[in-house]
Amino acid sequence: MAAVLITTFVVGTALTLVIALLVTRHAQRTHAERKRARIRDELRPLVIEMVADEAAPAPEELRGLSGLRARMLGELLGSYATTLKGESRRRLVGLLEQEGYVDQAVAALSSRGAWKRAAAAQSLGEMSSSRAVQPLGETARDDADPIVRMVAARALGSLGDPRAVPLLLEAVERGVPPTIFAGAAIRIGEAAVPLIERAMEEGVQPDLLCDVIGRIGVSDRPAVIRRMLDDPEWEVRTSAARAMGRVGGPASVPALLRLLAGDRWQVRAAAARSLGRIGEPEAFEPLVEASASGDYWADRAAAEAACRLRDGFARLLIRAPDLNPALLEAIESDVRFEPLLELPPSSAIPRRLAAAGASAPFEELREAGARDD
Amino acid sequence: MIDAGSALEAMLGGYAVFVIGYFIALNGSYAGLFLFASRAVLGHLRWDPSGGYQQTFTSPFTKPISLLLPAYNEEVGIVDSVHSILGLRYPELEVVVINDGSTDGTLEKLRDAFDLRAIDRVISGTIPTERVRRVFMSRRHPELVVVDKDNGGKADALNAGIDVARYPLVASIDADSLIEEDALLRVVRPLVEDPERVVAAGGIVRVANGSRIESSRVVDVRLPRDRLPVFQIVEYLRAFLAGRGGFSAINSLVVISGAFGLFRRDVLLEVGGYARDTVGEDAELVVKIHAHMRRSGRPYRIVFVADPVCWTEAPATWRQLMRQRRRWQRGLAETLWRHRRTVANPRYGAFGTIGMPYQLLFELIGPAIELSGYVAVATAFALGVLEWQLAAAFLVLAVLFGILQSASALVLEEWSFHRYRRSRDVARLFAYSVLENFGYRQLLSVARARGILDAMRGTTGWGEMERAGLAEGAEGSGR
Repeated sequence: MAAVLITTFVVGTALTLVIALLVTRHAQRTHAERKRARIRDELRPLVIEMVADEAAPAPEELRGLSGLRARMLGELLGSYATTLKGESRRRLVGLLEQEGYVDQAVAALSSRGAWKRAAAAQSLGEMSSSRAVQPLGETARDDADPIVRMVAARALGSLGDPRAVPLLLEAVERGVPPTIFAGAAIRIGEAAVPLIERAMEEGVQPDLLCDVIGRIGVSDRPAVIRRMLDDPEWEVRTSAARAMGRVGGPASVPALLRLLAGDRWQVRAAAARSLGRIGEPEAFEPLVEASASGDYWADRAAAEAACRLRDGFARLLIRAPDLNPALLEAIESDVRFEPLLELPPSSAIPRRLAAAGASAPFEELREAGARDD
Repeated sequence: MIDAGSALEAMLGGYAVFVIGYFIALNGSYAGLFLFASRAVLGHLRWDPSGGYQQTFTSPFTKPISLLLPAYNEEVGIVDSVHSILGLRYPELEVVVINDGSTDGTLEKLRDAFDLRAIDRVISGTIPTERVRRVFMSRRHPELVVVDKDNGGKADALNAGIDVARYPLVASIDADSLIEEDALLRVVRPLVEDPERVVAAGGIVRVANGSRIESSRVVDVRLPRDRLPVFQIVEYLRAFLAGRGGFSAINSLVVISGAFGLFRRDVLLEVGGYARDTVGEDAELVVKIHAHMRRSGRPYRIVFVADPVCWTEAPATWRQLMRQRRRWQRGLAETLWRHRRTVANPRYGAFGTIGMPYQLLFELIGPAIELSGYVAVATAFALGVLEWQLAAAFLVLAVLFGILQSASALVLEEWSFHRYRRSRDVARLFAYSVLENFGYRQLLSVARARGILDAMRGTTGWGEMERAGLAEGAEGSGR
């Protein structure tokens, strides 16, 4: 009985604290939201005025702010800095630096609370100041909290500065998801390519870096990637095959055709898609052959690629009625198929497609053909 | 000769000790889950305090999704549902509507609204399903595919959708659910960040009753006037935020709601898709994935993401609610029985040693123990072997624990997503977290106990689903 009573007392106390927390938090949050909305409504027209008139100096009301108003201004300016380009953006970033918001956020990267450090990293990403590259890079690499590292890496990527590339690679070594690095590198764009290719040559994350090069779509040394088409790891071969579609050009076609005969469906599918993207007609017959391997996803990729080639769609139509199901689906899913439905049923193409087994409205033709037989 | 009275006293005494021990274990487990969940939810908010997912949207590493929408006799709302889904914010999306042998005008409505034409879509046939009659694509929306098949049930329809899907990620949603515009961007984040390990992710399901809905979007979150859905809102907060959040943190999440879940398609194909012979196909799938991944020795995670929201209509009558809970309990029993060798099996890691035993001991047989506890207490009291003071104290303690669980979930909701902005709504939610201990929970235990009996008897079928629908305009349903 005593134990029950003591436990009841403890639980009752805990419940009282929880209720107090609920009430306090709700009130605090509601009040904070209203206050933030009010301040945002005051500051927004001033910021818009400043952004709209590049010649005018920044309004006095935007200078020397502190506390919540300063933080709100930093957020607002940061949100505009990410969307503006050119001189307007430079002015905004200049104001953020001049008024000390960037320095405040950099200092906050060393706060004790992980929440504050993450918020500071997020703001630095939005403020787009190049002063933040090194501090964010160090945070992405060294912060004790994995979420803070991720936020810092993401913010670093949004700065678009190529100096971030080696820092981000170090962050990946410390557990930041590779996709964050990849997204960041793609945002940095061409300027990141030499650094990435150097890392590839050193053997750092070849499959990831191949993918990134492919997405950026530019390569100073496509031979580096072409060598990776023969890598013993299938993931690397797949990434290299994907990248070749964007950076390899017609010179990559022979190597990609070799991969069409590989044992891994992922590699064959990636090679097929790249061949479709490059568009060279010499890939047509190998792709048609590859679309009948019996491996569903590789067949589909090969069929779609055959359709994408220069004159591929027309060649497939001529090939009808000898079309396997993957090729037939690829033709029917192509936007160029739609006008064919308007052709008179007696013309050659509808008759060929009906014979290949295409769906209605060619069903009537198919049935008519069966009756004639 | 043994004194029957003494024997009965001893039995009741022993059972009382058992119930107390069970009670401590249950609430201790819940407290642990709550701590894990709080850490995960608050950590998630640190990741993106602004809540925006622009980078996920623009990243080329965000994989395309095939979104499956099984439909059976949904002619009333199917066009609106599909329009709403086509408006979801996601870089590359395919919508696969599976018309599961509807006997009403579902297919005709889709044909008229979306200008469908038949195509010869190659179906991999990896998962056997009822016959697929035709596959259509939309001229107006090339990302929309409609599969017309013979009736086979929801699981069969989803399996057909998995077969037809062309993208590496597959999401399933219910035709009558409302998904928030950027819900896919949020739920895909774990799969973008950790594509090798994360094989499935589920979002939170919230109750839409009483909220204002415009163009199939919840624009103003409110509580309904009716009591029954409000009880369920409290329950859902407790179950999703605290319960699922906690299990997810220890990689023991046992269910992803059928209303909104995202999976890697290759893993779905490996496990053979959804089971057709159970009403708990959503839970069975997740348990099956856990078992499969553990047996294959591959590192993996199944994640609950508290952020992305699917809104659903909660039952508004006792009859509907009892029927639903009875069915859920039957589904749980079927799943546990089917995968019984994972329970308390260290080979299955935390899923086998924590997740599955929790489901068995607390979710499955909990209602039976609770109801038997009432009977035992009443019997003991009637026989004069129980002091009324002790019984009363224990009852007060049990009620306080119940309130504490729900109130804690409310605090977590308030600290994190703060969806209920009105003070009177928060106050009302707290009031209902008190009231639910005086009848609501007990009646649900009765329904759940009947669900266990149904499972033991081998009952099949879903029963009739009655819905009022979530009305557009001033207030959603709740009557």
